[in-house]
Amino acid sequence: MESSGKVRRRERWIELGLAASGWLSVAVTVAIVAVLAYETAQFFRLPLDAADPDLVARRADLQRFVEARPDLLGRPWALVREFFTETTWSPLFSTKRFGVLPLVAGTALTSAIALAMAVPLGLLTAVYLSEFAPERVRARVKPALEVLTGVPTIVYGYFALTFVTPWLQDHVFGQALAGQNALSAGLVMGFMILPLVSSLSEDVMQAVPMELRYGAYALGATRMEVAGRVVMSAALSGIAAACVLALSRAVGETMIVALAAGQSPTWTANPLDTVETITAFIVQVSLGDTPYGSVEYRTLFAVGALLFAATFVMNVVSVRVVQRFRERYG
Amino acid sequence: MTAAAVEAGWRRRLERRELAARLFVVACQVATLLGLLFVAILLVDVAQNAAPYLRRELVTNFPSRFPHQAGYASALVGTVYVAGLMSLVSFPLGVLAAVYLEEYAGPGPLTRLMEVTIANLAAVPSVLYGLLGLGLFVEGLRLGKSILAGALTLALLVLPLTILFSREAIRAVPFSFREAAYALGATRWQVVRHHVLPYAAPGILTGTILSLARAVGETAPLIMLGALQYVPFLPRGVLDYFTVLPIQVFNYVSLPNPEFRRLAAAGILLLLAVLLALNATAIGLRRRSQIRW
Repeated sequence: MESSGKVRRRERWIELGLAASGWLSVAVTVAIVAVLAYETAQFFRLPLDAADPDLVARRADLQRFVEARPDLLGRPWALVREFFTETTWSPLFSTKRFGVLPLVAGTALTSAIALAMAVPLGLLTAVYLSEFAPERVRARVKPALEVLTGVPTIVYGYFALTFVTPWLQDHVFGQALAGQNALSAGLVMGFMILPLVSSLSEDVMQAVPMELRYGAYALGATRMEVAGRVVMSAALSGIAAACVLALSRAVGETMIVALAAGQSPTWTANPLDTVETITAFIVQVSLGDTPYGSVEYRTLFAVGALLFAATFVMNVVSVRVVQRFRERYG
Repeated sequence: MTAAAVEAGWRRRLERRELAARLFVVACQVATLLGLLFVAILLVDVAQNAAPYLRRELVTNFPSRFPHQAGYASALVGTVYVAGLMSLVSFPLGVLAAVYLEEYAGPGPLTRLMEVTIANLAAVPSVLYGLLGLGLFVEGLRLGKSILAGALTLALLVLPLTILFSREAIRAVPFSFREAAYALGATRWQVVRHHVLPYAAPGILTGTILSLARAVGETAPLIMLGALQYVPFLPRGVLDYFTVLPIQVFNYVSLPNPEFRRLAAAGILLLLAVLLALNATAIGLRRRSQIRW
């Protein structure tokens, strides 16, 4: 028999160990924010580093920066302004312009196409599965659609590049469609996030109390009126959360856009053009040789921080919305 | 207006409303079919392209400049190394964190902070984990672009998922089991160790396998870690260069020669086969563990 003090001490240590592994997740979050913040600060410090002759003498990439952008030397705030307001992004070329807006536009364009595809299709699918489909069909179709989220994104990238784009070129747009374009990447991404919209929306539609439907039918409403005006309105905040979550997934998606949308940052809203998203730029830089601390390495984290901020805001919004919904019907 | 006229108007509108309702149901069915059709076309297209390359050399040969001699040997072994090493890290950490949140942590702002953080981590784009791994493991800990750095990065990536699945499994164990054990004088850890964990084990295992499947398909974060190497050898240790299946596929898709695209399709089938096997195991485990208390 162990003494009770020994047992208590052991229990205490075990609890501490368990708590430590729980706090690890918080530590990971802090680490992500810290790494992104530190390296982003390093990016905006470039004009200061480039004004230091000792550093420049040692670093070839800084020399190239000084040659390309003598106007930025010693003026970090000018770089900040350029980053957020200018429409040319060419840090990998000799011209070195740092306006991030083309990447933002590319991300917005592909995500918008994906949502335009996924939201209507996903909602109709959710209504069908929740309101109209026989239980037998629902039990088979739902998991079959969820397969779509389990497929590695590289597979979608392959499909968009080697099937969807050539098909659209042959049957719809002809040569007006670039070999890499926002449209096919967005369309395929739409199917990738489709189950996200449909599954989550279906869950909230199922949670709408049957009484609401009975009431509407008793007043003589048709199936469409019940589905649209009663069920969907009651489930609206849950549906909105699903769409925001899908948007956040589209914005952060990498392999589809890297393969199918292209690697040339263009300030355009034309879906037939080649564009570059934030994530595709990160892949593009990583494929080349990026020594630690070089200009290219720093841009990687600056755009990464932007991506983190955007998706973080979207996730917080969707969690808030879901909580509001739970309060009403949970 | 006479009563008859009012009723005639109502009837007309009713017919229109009912037609709209019928069309709406059809539209819903078509939308559902479109999603399924997309899956079907994708699979058929990949299989058709892959057909000529589905042979033994696909898994025994190393990458090569000649598509007919190239294969996925180093990528397959790399995937096994990275995924195995990753599980060694993420499985214990995930389960312990889940035990803490379910069995130990009281309500309060700190627990809430932990839960919100985990939920947010699960939604961070995977490419950002690549940047974290690059800054933290490759440069910070000087692990270089190695199997170990890749495995640690993926471990952080799947950790929130493992925690989520494990929590569900632990929560499914009825409270009466715990009460019975406490009544016999068991300490908290004894209850967890001898009563909760054994019953939650199949569920936890299912979740771990599903997390593993997620990690096996990840491409973007490993590109950041420089895994896109031409690797004509099997890794000899955890600090070696490496490549994994999805990255080798990415490599072949990016090459201009159309034969390499077919080889990529074959690689995709290989990848999907691995994922299917993992998912089938998980589903089988879940079936066997679905005991109603």
